[in-house]
Amino acid sequence: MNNMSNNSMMNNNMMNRRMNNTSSRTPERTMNRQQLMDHINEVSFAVDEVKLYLDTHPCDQDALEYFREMSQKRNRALKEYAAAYGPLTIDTADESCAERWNWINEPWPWQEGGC
Amino acid sequence: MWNYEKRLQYPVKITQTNPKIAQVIITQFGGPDGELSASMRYLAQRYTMPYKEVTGILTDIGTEELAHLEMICAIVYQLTKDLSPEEIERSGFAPYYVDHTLALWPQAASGTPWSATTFQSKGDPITDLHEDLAAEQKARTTYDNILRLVKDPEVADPIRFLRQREIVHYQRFGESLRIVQDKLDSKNFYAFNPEFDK
Repeated sequence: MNNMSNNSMMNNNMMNRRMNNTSSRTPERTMNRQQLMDHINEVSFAVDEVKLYLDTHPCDQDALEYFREMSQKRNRALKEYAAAYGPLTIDTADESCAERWNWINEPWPWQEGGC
Repeated sequence: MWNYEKRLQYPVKITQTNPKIAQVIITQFGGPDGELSASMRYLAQRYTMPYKEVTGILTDIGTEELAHLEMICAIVYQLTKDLSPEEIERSGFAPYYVDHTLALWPQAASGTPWSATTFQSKGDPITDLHEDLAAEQKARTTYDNILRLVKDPEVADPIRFLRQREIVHYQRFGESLRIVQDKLDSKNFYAFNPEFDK
């Protein structure tokens, strides 16, 4: 019961933050391709790290707040990247694959020019 | 269910090939303390794990290990890209090349094929978490051994990242073991196996 109310509170907060952010100019728009990729790697790593910490400390409010902040930055940057350069995830593929299937066009991460 | 993300967890950009060091680093793909064994160990152990925090950590670390396996393969791939037959002969890469050309195949530095016998899934949370803690330290030692041989900073940088992750995973498995022990009889942790006894 407690868990459920905590979860729905978290979702509401996340939704509010998303809505507030859509109106403001996102910093990702001023980055070049490499800078945007580095930014994605950084915020994704923050998500990876705090995710493991939260598994063993599920009630740590500071960690939850950090997760929300980083996860939001990550999702925004992934959408931005997909629209400008091609998708890194299947869930952002619709941002750039209207004309052709760009999922296979950009280099794979182990290749030159990849991520 | 897994989703692929078209990027490495940490970038690998190696401009100088080095088949000699590739044959050492490949051990973290298919060797006894490598990333493939790590991933399979945690993902196999999680099904019978009765505590949600620990099921979560096994799932999430097991998933991260797949990303580490991909980084190791990217390192080996870039270290052996476009080799000439002369370079292959000179560097001692011929025994690998004759079976796999320049493709990736999970083996130890010794050439021993990857095997599920490199890990255990015992069905007892105390036993499995001790194995997991030891596995992270064995992988950390392997990365320390690799770092003593690597001179190229473009190779050392992602290897240092991977070494550091072993230490974080060790910390999280330590917390997982404490969570398990807190739920058991403090006078005798072994009185009851929560993955089997009712």
